[in-house]
Amino acid sequence: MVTFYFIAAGILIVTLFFIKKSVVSHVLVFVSISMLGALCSYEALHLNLAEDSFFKADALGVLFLFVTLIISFFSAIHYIIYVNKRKQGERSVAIHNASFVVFVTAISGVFLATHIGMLWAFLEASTLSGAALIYHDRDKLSLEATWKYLFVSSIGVTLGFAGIMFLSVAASNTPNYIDALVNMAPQMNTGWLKTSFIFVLAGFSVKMGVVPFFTIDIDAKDSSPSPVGAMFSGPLMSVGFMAIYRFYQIYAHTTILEWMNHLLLLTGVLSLFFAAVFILKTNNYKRLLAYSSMEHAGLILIAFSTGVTGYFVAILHLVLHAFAKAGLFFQVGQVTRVFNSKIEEECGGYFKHNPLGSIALLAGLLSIVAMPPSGLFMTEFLLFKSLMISSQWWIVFIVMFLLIFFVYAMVKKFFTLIFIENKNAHPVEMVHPLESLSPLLLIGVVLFFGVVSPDFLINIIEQATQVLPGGGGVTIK
Amino acid sequence: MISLLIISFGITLIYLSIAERMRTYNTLIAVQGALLFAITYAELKDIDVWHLVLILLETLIIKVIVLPYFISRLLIRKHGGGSIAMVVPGFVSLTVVSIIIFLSFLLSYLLHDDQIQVKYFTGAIAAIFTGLYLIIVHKQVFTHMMGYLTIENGIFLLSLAIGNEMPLIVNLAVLLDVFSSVLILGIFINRLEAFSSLDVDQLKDLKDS
Repeated sequence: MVTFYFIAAGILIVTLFFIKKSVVSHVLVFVSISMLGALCSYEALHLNLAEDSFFKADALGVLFLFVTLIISFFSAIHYIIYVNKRKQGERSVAIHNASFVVFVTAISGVFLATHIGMLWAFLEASTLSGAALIYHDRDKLSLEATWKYLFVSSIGVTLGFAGIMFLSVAASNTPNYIDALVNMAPQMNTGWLKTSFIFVLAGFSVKMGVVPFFTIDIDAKDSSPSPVGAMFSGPLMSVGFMAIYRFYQIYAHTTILEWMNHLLLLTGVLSLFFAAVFILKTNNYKRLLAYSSMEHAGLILIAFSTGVTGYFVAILHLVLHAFAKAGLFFQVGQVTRVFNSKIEEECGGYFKHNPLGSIALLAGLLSIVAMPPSGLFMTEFLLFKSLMISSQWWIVFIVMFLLIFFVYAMVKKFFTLIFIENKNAHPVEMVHPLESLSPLLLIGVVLFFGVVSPDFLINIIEQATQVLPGGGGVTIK
Repeated sequence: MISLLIISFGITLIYLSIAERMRTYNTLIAVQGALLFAITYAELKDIDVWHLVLILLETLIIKVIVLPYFISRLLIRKHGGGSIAMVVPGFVSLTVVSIIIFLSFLLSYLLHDDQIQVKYFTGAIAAIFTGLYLIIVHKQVFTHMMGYLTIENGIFLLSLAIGNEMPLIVNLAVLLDVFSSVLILGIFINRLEAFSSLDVDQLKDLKDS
């Protein structure tokens, strides 16, 4: 099934590059999303079935595939609206749609890869296709963002490859299959493993949007169309997490587990700190969302570093954040269209122009700042509980202190946008209320999960954490 | 023989540190590609035909012929060989890269790991850090791309130093990724020039306020 999916996606990509009719091109994108849906369903029913020496769908892979499926479906819908309003040329639609399918296919490859070399190759493919998506508007800002993204990502992914090489040194002649490496891990030289993990974490931070290579991720989300920003905040962040997780999965069976957790904690706290500094400074709504994504990526790493319950919390937080942030990006895309600006000083009184959209924004704000009944409140509560259980009181204090800045910045800027009239804000377009339904739906999912914890989600995350030391036996029910 | 090739590779790194013209950079990267091919060919004795074809493709065809030709056609001819502004004086760069090579040798020698080959490891680490150095000290996007290619060459040597072969399909995917990333980078450099100069200091429009 996986091989068939990649072959079919390859044919679609080539076709999309040459299709001139935008309508046909959009239809083919939905065909590719349907194919991804079929793959997700098949893999969910055949969990852990190795169909090919390079691919196997484990619980985490299937979970992230479903997240990618849902967000890419809505992203494709919002892209049609985006491109129709801008009256974009057929050639740029063709390039975007082909790149979009490459991007989604590469992401799926990362989730399913069982060989770390293959995982790396798909990561690099996601960089190249991601660059084409950022460059969509073909203006000076998108060009600058694309150049920076492509260059820094390439450096990051190359450093990640060096990490793979160092793992190969430690693994002697063991083939680079994840399962084989997990079995071999206890006999590996820990010095090489530490070196490898530093390179992997630094290199793949590009994808997850955390310290050290976070800046290009912010620029990319700012300069690309909002539907692309949604893909970068959800599925691409999952890709970065998955890449780090696969190496963690191998090294967790060695004595460096605690050292890795310290490193993840440090990366998480630093990411939170830098995001807190910049979020107060920005007056751009898309960058505001991008820094908020960085904050959540930091929280995910902090949660993951606490182990046991933390593994569960990190994965659930990642999934819920992906939905909430995608919804917010779609909604902020509408704000940008209404005011022809994404700058705070040029927007205001949004409620008057788009009440349903404003409700979506408020619901999104509630979700993303982790206020009850948001599902993110539950995960952040569990994060603090994990930190307290492991007696990391200083970290609890620092994280809580930094979170205050995010709540302040988000609430202040969103309330200004929605409720405060601004004489510099000149609406140029009215948005149909129906366009706010999909953001509301995505954000509604996050709010729903805060009230009800569905068994299938809990079970699949528990299965995903079973491969980690102490994982799998934790429940939040 | 291999030692001689690795020493030659080290000399290209030193030359890269003091190069002042685009054409020189491009030639040095092509020479590195040729040296990598010679090293690989001399090292891999019991190689199957498909791996040989792949290595030929990656080193001789892509690194020595296609990429330098592409860079020359797309970027250098427009600038008539183009001189690169030196941010750091040549002798400082020369000293830094010499120290990088010396420290790489020291590190490789001190590691005492049976799994790695000291000669290749020295060249690999030296190339990776020289590439990073080039990126840090230069302000032109062209030199940044040359730094990236140097790092790529270092990674190629690192895979030789470790000797753990990747399956053919992974090698092919890696090759295609590197090839296309350089092509796309080149195209974007060209576009970038239409808006502003190729100086990274000009790329400051994306900011928070």
